[in-house]
Amino acid sequence: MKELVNKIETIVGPENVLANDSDLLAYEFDGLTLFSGCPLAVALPKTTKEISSIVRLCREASVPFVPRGAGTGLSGGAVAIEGGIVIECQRMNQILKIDEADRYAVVQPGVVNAELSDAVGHLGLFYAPDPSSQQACTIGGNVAENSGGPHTLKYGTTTNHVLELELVLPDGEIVRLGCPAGGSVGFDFLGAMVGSEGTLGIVTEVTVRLTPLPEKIETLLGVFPDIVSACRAVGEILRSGLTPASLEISDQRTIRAVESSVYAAGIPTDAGAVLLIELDGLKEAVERQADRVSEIAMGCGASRIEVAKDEAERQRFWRARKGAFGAMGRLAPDLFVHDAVVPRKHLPEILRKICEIADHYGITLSNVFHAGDGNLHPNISFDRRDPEELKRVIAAGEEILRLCVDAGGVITGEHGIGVEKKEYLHLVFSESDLATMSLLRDVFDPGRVCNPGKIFPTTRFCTEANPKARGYDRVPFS
Amino acid sequence: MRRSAELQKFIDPSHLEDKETLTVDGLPLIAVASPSTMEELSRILQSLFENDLSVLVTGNGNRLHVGNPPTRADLRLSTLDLKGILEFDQEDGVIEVLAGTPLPQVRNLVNSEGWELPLDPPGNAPTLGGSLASAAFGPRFGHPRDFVLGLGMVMADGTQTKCGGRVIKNVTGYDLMKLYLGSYGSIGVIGSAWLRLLPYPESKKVLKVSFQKDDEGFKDSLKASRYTSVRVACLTNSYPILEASLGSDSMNLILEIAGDEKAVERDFNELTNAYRADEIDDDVLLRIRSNQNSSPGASDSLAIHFRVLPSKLPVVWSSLNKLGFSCFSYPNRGDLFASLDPNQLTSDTETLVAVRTLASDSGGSFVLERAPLRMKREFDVFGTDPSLSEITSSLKETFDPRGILNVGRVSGRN
Ligand SMILES: Cc1cc2nc3c(=O)[nH]c(=O)nc-3n(C[C@H](O)[C@H](O)[C@H](O)COP(=O)(O)OP(=O)(O)OC[C@H]3O[C@@H](n4cnc5c(N)ncnc54)[C@H](O)[C@@H]3O)c2cc1C
Repeated sequence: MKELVNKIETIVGPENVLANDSDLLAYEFDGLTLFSGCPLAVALPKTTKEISSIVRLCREASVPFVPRGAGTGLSGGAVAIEGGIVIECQRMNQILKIDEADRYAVVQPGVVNAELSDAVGHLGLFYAPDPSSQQACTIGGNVAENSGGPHTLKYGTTTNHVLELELVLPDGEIVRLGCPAGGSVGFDFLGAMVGSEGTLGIVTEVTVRLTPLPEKIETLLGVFPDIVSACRAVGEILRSGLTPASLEISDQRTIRAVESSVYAAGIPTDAGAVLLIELDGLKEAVERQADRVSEIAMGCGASRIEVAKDEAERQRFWRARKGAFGAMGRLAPDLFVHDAVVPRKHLPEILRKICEIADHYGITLSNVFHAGDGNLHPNISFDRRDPEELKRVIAAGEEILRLCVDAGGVITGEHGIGVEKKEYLHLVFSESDLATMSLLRDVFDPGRVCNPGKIFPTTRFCTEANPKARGYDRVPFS
Repeated sequence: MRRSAELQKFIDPSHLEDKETLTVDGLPLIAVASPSTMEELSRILQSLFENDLSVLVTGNGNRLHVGNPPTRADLRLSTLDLKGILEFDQEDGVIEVLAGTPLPQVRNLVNSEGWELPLDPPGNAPTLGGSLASAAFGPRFGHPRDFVLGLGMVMADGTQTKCGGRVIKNVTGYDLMKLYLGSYGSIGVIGSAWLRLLPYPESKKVLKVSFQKDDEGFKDSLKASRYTSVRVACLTNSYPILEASLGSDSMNLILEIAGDEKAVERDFNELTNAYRADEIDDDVLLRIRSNQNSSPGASDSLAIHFRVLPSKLPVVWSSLNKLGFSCFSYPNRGDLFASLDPNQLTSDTETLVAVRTLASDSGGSFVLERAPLRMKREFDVFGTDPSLSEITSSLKETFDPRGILNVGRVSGRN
């Protein structure tokens, strides 16, 4: 193994290989602290060719490799769970091209998400997918996770914005998928690559679509007595035919944590929940829609609606939303951020049941989530040094996932399966579904050297997938 | 080509019949199997797989002209009896539909409840399955990939599998949906799909913007088609069928603006102030849609769909005009449709080389949607990228190991 590390040093230079125990400590986890794995070494390549050479070496030595961006992932995806070499893309952080006329940009995978929007803002453009971690996470990580964000409701997730990828395949070959004009001819490998969690290759260049900045943005904060009425308002707004840019809910525990943190936005701490509504588009339309959503929210029990007076106030509202996970650090040393999706009409009932589950297990649970997409984030604050508490946390989490799947939902909307949820995949998919998925893996990585130990369950399961959960109950099973 | 009598020992005769011969790129097909449930579809495929019999899968036949010539097919597998709406969730705006369902039926249902079906491929009652398998789209909505939430598939060996789901955001497992969409039935048969619907627009208007010179049309059409509420933009000059109804201006840009009433009103006023624009009847949209599928001239004409960077459209368009093609385009999406009577060509090879260069120099791609058989035999209609040929073949072999589904049709003649 020393020999492999030496060879990698000759490719990227010894200063770009980390192999000391103390350096490797930082790579044992990602944003989820429940799963750890220590790599043999971390390589910090600068070019596609270097990545290709490292991959070839790993493959020859049958040593696994794990692509990594900023390590903000929340499902253990960038953790070297089976050891091997971590290939971190952060030094590949250049924006290579901005095309204003055709509205696209070409970036290296290590470019931080928010930096791209910053770089094109003066052209009246932005990069739409905006995970709450956008100040840190990389575009490469976003592609691998098919990341979403608070504006997914109107603008879609990463997959709707990626036009072309350059990729190092698990055998070291370099290919390009897609083209800057978008659309695909032949099999849509590009589409399958997005969201494959770094298990089918390493993304080395990304061409993304840029979106025109809206003329007018109106941001409203609805204050509700409880989370169920806030959820009802979401349903009513969507049923009225409006598609806001975002509909985000924070519950009381989240509000209190935020208000006692640096992200405080002056939200009343006795509010049961707040609904952050953002509308964007042409001025005349947005103004009219703002009146309509305010009316709907009040009709669903909101005690008041605040409208951001200016950009500074809008940013304050958003800081409170995007800083929520950070603020939870005040509640306990560890945070388990869950991520499930349900049909939006079930939100009120599901939220009520989630609170019952939390009470039953005696855990500290808060909710801050992308309500417009039905994408829940029940967050459990805990101390992983307390084994008894940890057991309850895991059991409650599993019950929540089952609840969401039974309602026709799925177990992840944006954070991925990674290590965290691989043993729960059978809640959603049957064995034949999973066997079909693994055919794709066979095409790209038959030797299972590229980010092994992720996505696919390690145990065979005896429970049949719940067809109702996927809404396929009307289609009889064989 | 086989007759149903030869196949009765493999397939339940109640789903099998001989129909009028359908010839696809020179390959005649007589026997047709028509399952009406996913189970029947599964049983039929399992039996074909076990007996090494190959099929050509068809919906209502609107897109059979697209694809490389099939290299084998013992029978036709029609999805027309596999039809029906399985669930329409009006609150969440999602719907689950069986593959053989004609899209107009789905559209009528969802429109009546205030939703819009974001699929508008051309053709005579296109089926859901055929439209998704061929990634068909029309003037209003783009590629179906952004609207499909889940697929129920039957694989080559008869296994029923699912991917995706019914919710609008989902990263649970690999996104196999993207591979099945546009795979022309070559790696699995689409049995059903969950679709995301859009709110039906509050207001819509159709406008004709006329340009007196081509360069003016090229310069302004992209700008005009990027107004916020534009959802159809179609630029045309001298495209025979379409143009006859539009008058004699050098170039016409047809726009449909839709959405919030106030936004539509404002865009309408601005567009009519900025350009020579008039409101016209919306039946022009139907003509645009049908033009996309049929080419003027001979029935075996050459019709090419390009996707290029919008700023490159003028260059591609004028180069194609020089080669003798008539063009029309959806400039905001970079789609360009070009057609020509192939008898006018002096050299197939030179034309195809020029076409390939044009597409790659303009950051895009092309598909020969219609071509005479001689050309299809010589050129891969998908203009295959050689660097992807290995993974393309590998995908086909892995998902259809006995080579029984739509053999030879997709890129790389897989
Ligand atoms: C506070 C906080 C808020 C968050 N909010 C959101 C949110 O709103 N929406 C959302 O979707 N996510 C959110 N996340 C999760 C996370 O930020 C995203 O998944 C993000 O895309 C990960 O990017 P990264 O650069 O940190 O990737 P990493 O964590 O380093 O890696 C993530 C996965 O991508 C793979 N990968 C990384 N780079 C490459 C590459 N170049 N090629 C191939 N594979 C690669 C890794 O192997 C791993 O499987 C949040 C996380 C935190 C901590």
